[in-house]
Amino acid sequence: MNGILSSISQGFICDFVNQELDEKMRKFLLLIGAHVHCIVNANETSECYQNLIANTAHIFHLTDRLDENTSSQLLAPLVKKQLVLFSLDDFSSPLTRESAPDLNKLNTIVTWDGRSLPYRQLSGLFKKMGSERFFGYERYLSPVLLSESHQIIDSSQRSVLRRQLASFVERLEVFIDHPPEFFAVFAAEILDEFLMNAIWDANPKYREASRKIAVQLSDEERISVEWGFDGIFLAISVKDQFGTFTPSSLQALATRFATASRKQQVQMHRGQGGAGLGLHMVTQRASGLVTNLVPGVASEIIGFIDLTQSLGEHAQRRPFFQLFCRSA
Amino acid sequence: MELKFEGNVLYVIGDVTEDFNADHLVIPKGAIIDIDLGGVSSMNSCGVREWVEWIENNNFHPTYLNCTHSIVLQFNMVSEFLSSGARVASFQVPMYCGVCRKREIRLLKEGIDYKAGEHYEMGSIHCEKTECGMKLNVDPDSYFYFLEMMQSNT
Repeated sequence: MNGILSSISQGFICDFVNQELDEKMRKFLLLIGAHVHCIVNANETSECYQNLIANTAHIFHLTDRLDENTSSQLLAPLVKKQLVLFSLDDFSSPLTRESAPDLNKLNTIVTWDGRSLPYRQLSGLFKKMGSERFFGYERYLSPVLLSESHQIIDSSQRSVLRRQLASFVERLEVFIDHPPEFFAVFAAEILDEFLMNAIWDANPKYREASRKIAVQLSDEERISVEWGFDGIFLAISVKDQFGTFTPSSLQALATRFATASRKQQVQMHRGQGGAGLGLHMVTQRASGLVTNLVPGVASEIIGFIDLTQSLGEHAQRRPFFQLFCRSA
Repeated sequence: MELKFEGNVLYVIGDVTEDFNADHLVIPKGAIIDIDLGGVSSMNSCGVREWVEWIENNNFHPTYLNCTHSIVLQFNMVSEFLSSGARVASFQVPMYCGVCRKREIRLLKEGIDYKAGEHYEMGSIHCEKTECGMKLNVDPDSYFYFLEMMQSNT
């Protein structure tokens, strides 16, 4: 079968407590044409692991738990490894904050609703690891129906872009089965938080500056904004030229969403400020977040909204997180 | 964003952002004020901070009216929003019927529909059609959570 991984040397460790997920994932990997190495028994780990390291370009450790066994496997070279945690939508995951001391090493959290596999998240992830270019939202979407791109050279453009994106989403009502007006507000709010982060927090020159004062950006500080819709997902991407995004803030959020009850996920304090409150707001509104980072060079944050869900269904989802960091 | 202070009610209209500034309004410190948030389309993270600081710095005791979906999300997310003896007198709940494709905003009122500090569950709601599937278009667990939290804050 000519799958998405047919030309890429990738190895997989399937390490699931949930038997149904284990079975589905193995079938999926075989279907997409991967060179699959599976480890279930901890005793087999070392030998199979060495084999994986020697024979594959990228390794995916797929698991629905993080414990001491998983931690010991993290000692292997991390340079070509993605640790992927499957988090169950119904909160029945065996993962708890106490059992997850290494959650901060996570690269990706995908959500699984207990039924179909999250194909879009997985295929985007696998394709990305085999590619030199890993910026851009396109890998996660089907061929894009509608898109727009903009350059930010002045912070006062924020309010104009907010309105443009809200208007873009409102016009999508002809494609989707639900009134999109609340999603239009969500999209504008997500974009606004991304832009504040890119204009002020990411830029060392303006990090301490008052946000009440408009700033003009030089060519080297210019920010790229893109959004696109593929009939299901809206993707909003904001890219800066600094690469100062700190993965720990996203990892802290991912931990919170992977281990807390829905009510606990919602609450935050104003004092948890900086980009923290803004990012938390984003995760309340997005179906998923992907961060691409080349430290000191560029960072990109992409927010996704599944526009086929009703507002109520959307509110009950658990967002997925992916974090990619590559040296320049 | 626009602010109008009429008949002891402060009306807030538009997007609440870092530019929020109500210093020009003549409201005595410590006042008990009604604030109508029905015109707020969104409130960003900097807007929340500015708002909460304005309430705290002036020691206001606000009663919020007509709170939109966007504001309710902030009530649930930032606990300080409902400190300082704040009350929520009424708030909006989005409803949607997949059968009639009808969308509706219900306004729930304190003392009539809910009590602060108590868990709230909305009963079934129908329009004039017998096959109507009108239902909440939010996640009730997280959307009504602020009502339970208000007990410890008041």
